[in-house]
Amino acid sequence: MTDWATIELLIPEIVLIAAATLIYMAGACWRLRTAASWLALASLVIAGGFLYVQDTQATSPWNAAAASASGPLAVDLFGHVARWVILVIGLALVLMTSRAEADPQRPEEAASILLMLAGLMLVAAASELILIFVGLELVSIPTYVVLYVGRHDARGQEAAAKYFFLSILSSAVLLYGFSFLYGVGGSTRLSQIAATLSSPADSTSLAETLVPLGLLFTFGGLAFRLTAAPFHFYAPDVYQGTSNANAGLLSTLPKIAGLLALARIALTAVPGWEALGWKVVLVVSIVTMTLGNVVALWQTNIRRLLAYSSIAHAGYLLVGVAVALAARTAEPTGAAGGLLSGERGAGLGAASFYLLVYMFATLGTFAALVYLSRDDAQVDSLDQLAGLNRRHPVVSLLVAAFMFSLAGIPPLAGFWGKFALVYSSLTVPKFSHSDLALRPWFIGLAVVTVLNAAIGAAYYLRVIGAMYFRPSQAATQPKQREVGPVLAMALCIAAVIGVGFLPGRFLEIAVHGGQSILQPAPAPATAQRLDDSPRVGRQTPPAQASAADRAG
Amino acid sequence: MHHVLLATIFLPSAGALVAWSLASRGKAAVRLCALVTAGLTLALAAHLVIQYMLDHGTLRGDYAVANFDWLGEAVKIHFAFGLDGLSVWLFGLSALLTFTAVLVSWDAIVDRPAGFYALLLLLETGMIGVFAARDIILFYIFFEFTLIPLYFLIGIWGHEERRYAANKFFLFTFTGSVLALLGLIGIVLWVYNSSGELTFSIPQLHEALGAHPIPMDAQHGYLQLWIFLALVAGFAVKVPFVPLHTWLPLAHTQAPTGGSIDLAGILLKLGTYGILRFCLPMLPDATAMCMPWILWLAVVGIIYGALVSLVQSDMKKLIAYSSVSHMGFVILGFFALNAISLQGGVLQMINHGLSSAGLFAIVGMIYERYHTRQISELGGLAKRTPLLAAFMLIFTMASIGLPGLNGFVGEFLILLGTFQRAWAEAPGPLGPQLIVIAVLAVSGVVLGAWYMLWLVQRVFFGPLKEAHVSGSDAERIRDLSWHEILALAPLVVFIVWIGVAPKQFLEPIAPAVTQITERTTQPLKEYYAIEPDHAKPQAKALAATAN
Repeated sequence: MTDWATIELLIPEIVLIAAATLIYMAGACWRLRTAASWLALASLVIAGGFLYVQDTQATSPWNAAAASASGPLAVDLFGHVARWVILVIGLALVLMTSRAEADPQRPEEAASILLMLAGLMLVAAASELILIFVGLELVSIPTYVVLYVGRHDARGQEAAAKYFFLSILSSAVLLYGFSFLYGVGGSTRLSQIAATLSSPADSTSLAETLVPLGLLFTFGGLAFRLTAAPFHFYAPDVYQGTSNANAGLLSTLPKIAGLLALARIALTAVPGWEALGWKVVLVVSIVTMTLGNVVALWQTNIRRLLAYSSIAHAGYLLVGVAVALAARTAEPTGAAGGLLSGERGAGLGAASFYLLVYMFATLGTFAALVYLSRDDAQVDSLDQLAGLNRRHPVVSLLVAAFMFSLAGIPPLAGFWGKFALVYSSLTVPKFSHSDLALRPWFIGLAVVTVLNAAIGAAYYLRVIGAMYFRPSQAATQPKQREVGPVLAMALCIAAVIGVGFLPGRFLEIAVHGGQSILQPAPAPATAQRLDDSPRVGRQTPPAQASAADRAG
Repeated sequence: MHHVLLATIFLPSAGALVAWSLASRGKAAVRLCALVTAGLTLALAAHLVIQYMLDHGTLRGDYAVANFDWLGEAVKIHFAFGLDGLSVWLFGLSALLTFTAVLVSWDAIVDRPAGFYALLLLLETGMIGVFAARDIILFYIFFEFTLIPLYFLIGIWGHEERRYAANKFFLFTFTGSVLALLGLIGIVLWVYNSSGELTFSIPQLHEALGAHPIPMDAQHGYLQLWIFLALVAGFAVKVPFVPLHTWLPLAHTQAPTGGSIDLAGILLKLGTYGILRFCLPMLPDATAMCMPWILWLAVVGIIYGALVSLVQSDMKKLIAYSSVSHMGFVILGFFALNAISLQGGVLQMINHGLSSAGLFAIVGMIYERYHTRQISELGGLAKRTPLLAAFMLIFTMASIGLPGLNGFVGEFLILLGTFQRAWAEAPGPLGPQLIVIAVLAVSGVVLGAWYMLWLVQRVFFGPLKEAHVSGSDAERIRDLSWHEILALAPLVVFIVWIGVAPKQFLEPIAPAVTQITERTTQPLKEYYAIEPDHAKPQAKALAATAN
């Protein structure tokens, strides 16, 4: 069933995989040093170019009612924007890891990042269980490589082994969950599963038991990638044990994978199970954010602290997912929602937007740590940051901005992320005018979220306080001439401030993306276009839209 | 006029950038840049305030409105600014006190002056922005943003316990304000639900809530009460209400003088301004329902703040606790919900800003000379520094409410309004309660005179006592320098001006306050059978037409 249209859609991913292969092969023969990073950057730009070509085509997902569905792919606006975001985040990651002084194992790192990005983009575009799983594994397996080559001491190896075994386990759990969905739906295609589940003839008692089981296993497998409780235990140990660059990678890419797959499966494949879904996600969300924030208060290792921070932020993300699921349970009463014309897409849009601003702030922080570290002396503890303001005034100013953004203080991007989540959560009661049962849950969720933001501020302030208020404990280090991490920091701070001051466009795109996933899925089997589905889309020229996207 | 308003808001930020970029040029260049920026901002603000008084002294709507689309068509959060009777004086006060703060930091800040002045100017943008914002989210953004510069000001340039103080200040107020954000979103969503129009504009929300008030019945789960509580949670920490005040003495004492001035003079008012802007006019039913509770809290604050002030040994802490007491008066004035007491409350915000800024400046000046804030280590300073003592005496008199100075006008109006509520207008069970509250508040005035005069007596009169300084060093201690006089003199001018001619200052406040009493009259009648306010014929007439 693979035809040329499918291949055409996948060209950006193919470019990345080809470049990764080339770097692996060449790295085995020659010492590539910075050439690997240059090649990786070039492949990202080329992939971006091909993605841009898709923007300009008539079938561009930016146009209303013209999403490309081909073979196992369904590139709606959500998936398409996600692919752009993945490329930009990939750019920051490749820049961050491109260090001139690093040892000759570098090529594997750059190539593995490219493979992970390709895997993520596949997950973003996939509308089929097997392809989603393949994409997720394409993210996981290079991660093991990166973790092993990133750090050579015993702790690094321990971290890598820990991640390896738990990741394998979570993949197995995920696959087990997929098998239930396949068994009930009779197809690996999400739209087919949805069609089977929604037809009254097939709602047998078997499905009543198997679907929740399948969903719970799937959620468990994805929660590992999101670092949502109770699947978060590995994160603090692995982050602490690995290098700063790898910790930055782990705190971003798996989360994208988790959110993309979770949104796609939970919101499109299993109609009728949203009521169960939002309850589970809501409880997990509250537990995750509270646990992450509270435990982070006691951390003294900076990567461990950021690990708990990333756990907490996974909890915030799930707020948006819970909202999106709850919004599916009832028809909106009149013009519901509110924040944007996206209406029911607001929850998923808020979660996506939140993930975006979280990633820039987190990556920026890790890029700063990479910049401050040397191969023989990683920055590990909060004490090493003490008095940083005196030694590196600009770097500490940037880290302070990233911390304030993570804490959600205006006018930085993080504020709008929290605002969008809380706002979308408070709009949920609107979807159930007859059913007041939702209201206390989601108002409660909003209250817990903002209180968690306040708890979170406490440990972000500890980082800032260490940099600015404490006397320096480390000897002055020689100035480093690392362009990569500096550029990564520049990209991240531009995003954090830019999105902070002009969030409108990004919120809008995020919510329209969230809306696009909720449309009726394309009919199975053959490539076809959606002409008559009531798609909420935008009429802006694609060139402008993608320009705005790349600015982020 | 809106260009002037925008310039006033963002000029300090531009000045902050310039000051920061001048870091390598040394202290003199940086502080000159800060002084020029603060001075220009003050001139712009003064121009706006004077024009406001000349053109629209009794205007009910907004002045110098600037409204720009910010987040695009879909997200209707606007970049909207304007002034009205509630904000115009606070707006001017922010510009004035930043000017004062720059001048009192003139010699005090030696370490990293560029950062200090840049943050002080950024703080000014934040403060002015809060008072000028006409969009509910924009208000919140400025409200929260003020935390960042002040956090660094306390944490880097503060005294011994600065780190603890900075963190406590940040976390207390941040926790409160995130709850307030929920309340603000709640208001927007209710208006959206009831009118079908999504708006974040404060005047539009105010209007829409007049037509469709937020329900206050069991059927809707007491929605208005919950929103009210969320907002009060945020603003009460800032004011601060008594059980939530513990961050205040610490932050005030540990902050550098310039920070203390802005903190006491303006930032506490962000809380009362929020209550005035959102709670009273937009949530009148919940306001009326909670009125006795909050009045009790206010009176507890007045008495508690005064009693704790009495026993302080640290001058700065004494003045910090006196702020708790004085802000209690402001809250008392607000929640007596009487046109007179409300006017007094609004004016008292300005009065407290002027006198507490002056007092903190004086304590800072004494600290610069003697490196101590302990009352017991000082005495008879009037002999050494007569001019400083004279200024201190004026600020003290203003603070305790000597007739002829500003504090008297504010406190008198607040108490008058409260007594009027208690005797003339509140039959039933509320009446005796209000009488007790009003009498207790009067005792707070007496206590205030006690601790302030006692402070002045111990530090400035009696035998000369100068700890840590002796012999020729003591001889070298100078009276006020030119920049210190320049810092204090404008405060004294306004203290006397308001005291002598309060009518001018009350003029723009009165119509703005009417907008609040219009809304609260009916709920008060429903909850406590309080008759419409006799002192305001317009309010009565409006209430009559509404019925």
